[in-house]
Amino acid sequence: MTLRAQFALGRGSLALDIDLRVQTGETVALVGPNGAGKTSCLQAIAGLLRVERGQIVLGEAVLDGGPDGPFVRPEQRGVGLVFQEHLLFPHLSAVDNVAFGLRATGVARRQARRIAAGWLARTGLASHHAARPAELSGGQAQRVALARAFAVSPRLLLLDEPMSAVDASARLDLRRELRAWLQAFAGVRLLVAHSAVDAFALADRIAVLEGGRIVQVGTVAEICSRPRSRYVADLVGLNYFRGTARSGVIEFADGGRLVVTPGTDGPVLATVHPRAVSLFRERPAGSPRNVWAAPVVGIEPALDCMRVQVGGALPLVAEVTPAAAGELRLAGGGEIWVALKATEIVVFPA
Amino acid sequence: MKPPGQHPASRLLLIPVAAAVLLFALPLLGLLVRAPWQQFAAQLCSPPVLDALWLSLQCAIAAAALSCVLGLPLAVWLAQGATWSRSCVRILVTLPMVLPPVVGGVALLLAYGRRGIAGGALAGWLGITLPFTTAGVVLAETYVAMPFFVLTAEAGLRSFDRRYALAAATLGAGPWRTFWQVTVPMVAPSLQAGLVVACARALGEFGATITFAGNLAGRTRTVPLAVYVALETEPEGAIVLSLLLVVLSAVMLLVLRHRWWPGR
Repeated sequence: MTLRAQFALGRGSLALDIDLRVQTGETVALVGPNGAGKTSCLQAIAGLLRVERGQIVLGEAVLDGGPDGPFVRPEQRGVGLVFQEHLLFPHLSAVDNVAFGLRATGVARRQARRIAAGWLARTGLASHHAARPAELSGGQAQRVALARAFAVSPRLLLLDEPMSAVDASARLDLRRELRAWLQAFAGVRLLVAHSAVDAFALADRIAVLEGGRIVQVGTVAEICSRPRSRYVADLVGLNYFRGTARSGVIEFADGGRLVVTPGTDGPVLATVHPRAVSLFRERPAGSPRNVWAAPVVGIEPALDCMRVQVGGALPLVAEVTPAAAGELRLAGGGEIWVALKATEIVVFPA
Repeated sequence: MKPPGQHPASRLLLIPVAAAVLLFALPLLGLLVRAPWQQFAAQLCSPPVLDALWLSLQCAIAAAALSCVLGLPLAVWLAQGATWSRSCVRILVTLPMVLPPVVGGVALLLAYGRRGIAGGALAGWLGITLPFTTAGVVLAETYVAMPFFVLTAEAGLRSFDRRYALAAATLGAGPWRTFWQVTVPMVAPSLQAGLVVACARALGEFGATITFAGNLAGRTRTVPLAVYVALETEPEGAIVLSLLLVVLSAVMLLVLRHRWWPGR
C-alpha cells in the first residue's frame, strides 16, 4: 500500500502544491520552516481540509479526488493523526480517551476499555488509566495520544510535531519510544518534524517543504550531503552557496568567488562544513586557494565548539575550539581572515 | 507602608463599598425583620402558597427544559459563523432580555392569544389554547428565560476548540457522536450555567406571565403572582412568599457556584 498525495490547495496566503509518495513500512518526515504548509498537508491527507486540485490516494482508494471527485470523510479514512498538542478529551480518563476511537467504530464499551487498557500498558501508563489528561505530564499525555491513535488500527499514521509540546528532558525517552512504535506500525507513516534531530532519528526519508512546495526528497544521508536549499543547509548545519561554476571557479551573484575542484560547470550548489573553515587574525601564508577578510558578525557556543558567524560577500559559519576563539580574540569582533581549501568545498549541480 | 502598585486609599474605598452593600442588604434585612415568624410555618404550608410554589417549580423547570431543547440547536447554529442572518436572529432572540416583560406579554397575546395572528390557527386546527392556561405560563417564562440560555450556550460553543472535534473525526467519530460525546461534555459548564440562569429567570417571571396567562389560582398563579395578590390582601403573606423566592434564588446561585466540571 502506498500513499500518493498529489494535490494543491490554498490556505490564506499559502498556496500548497504537494507531490509526495510514502510506501508502507517507511517513515517519511516532512520538514520545513514555519508556515511552509506542513500541518495543512497532513490535514488534507487526514481529510480535515479538501484539496482543490489533484488527488490523494491510499492503496487503491481515492481519499480525495478534488472538487468533482470522490471524498472519503475523515472518520472513514482509517488515518491516525497525532497532534502537536495531545488534544486528549479533557472530560475523559486516559483509558476512555484511548477507547474513544474503538467505541466510535462500534466496539462494545467493556471490550473497548479492555483493548484500550492493553494499549495504555504498552506505553507504560497502565497505572494512570483513570487519570484525566490534566493530571498527566506533557510526555505522558502525548503517549496516551499515541495509544489513542494506534488503538483504532489506522492504515495511515500521521504525526504532527508529536514532540514539540513535550519538555526537553522527556523528549529523549519519548523519541526512543516513538521510534519503536513507528517501527512496529505496519501502515504508512508520515511525520511532521520540528527539529532536525527528530527527523533524522525517526525518518527513513525526508521531504523538505518550503513555501507550500516540496523542494527536496531523499534519505537522511542524501539530504545532509546535498542540501538543495538554505533552509536544509541550516537544518543540517552546513554552509550553503548558490552560484555559477566555470572551470573550477564559482562566481556568486553578489560579488564573491570561490576556487573549487574543477568538474562541474553551470549553476551549482556548494556546501562547506563549518569545521573546514579556518580563521586567522593575520593574513595566512600557504596553500589555501580561498582567502579573504570579513567581519565577525556573531559568536555562539555550540556543544563542543564555538560557532563563529562571518559576514561579508560570502557569509558563512566557522566552527573553532573555545581555545582558538580566545587566541583569535574573536570576542572583540572586527575583521578576520577566512581560509577555505578548494578540496573541502562540495559542489553539485543546482 | 503600602506596597507600591496597590490601589490607593483602600480605607476610603470601604465607604462606597459599604454603601453598595447596604443597598442590597437592607431590603433583605427588611424582609427578615418584618417576617411574621410566629405564623411562618403555617403561612408556608397553607394550600394557596403550596399550590403556587408547586406550580412555579413545575413551570420554571418546564421552561428551562424547553429553552434547552429549542435553544441548544439555535445556539449551535448561531455559533457556527458570523453572518448577517445570524446577527439578526441573535438580536431577535436577545430582545426579550431587555424588553419590559409586560410588553413581552402583550406581544405574546397578539401572537398566540385567542385573536392573535397565530393563536386562532393554533386553536382552530390543533385545539390548543395558550392564554390563561398553565401551558401559557410555560410559554411566557420560556419567552423571557430562553435568551439567557441561548447566549450562554453560544458563548460556550464559540470558545470550544474545534481541533477536539477534528481529533474525534480522525478517530472515526461521525458528526453526531462528536457533538454528543465531545462538544457537549466539553461545553457542559456553559450549558449548565445557562440552564440554571434560565430556570432562575423563569422562576421570578411576573410581567409576561400575568399579561399573557392571567392570574388564576392553581392554574397560572405562580409565586411572584401570589406575592402581588397577597400585597393587596395580607401583606404578611407577601413577605413569607418573598422570602421563599429569595431562598430559592439563592439556592440556584449556589448551584451555579459549583458548576465547575470535575477534574479541573
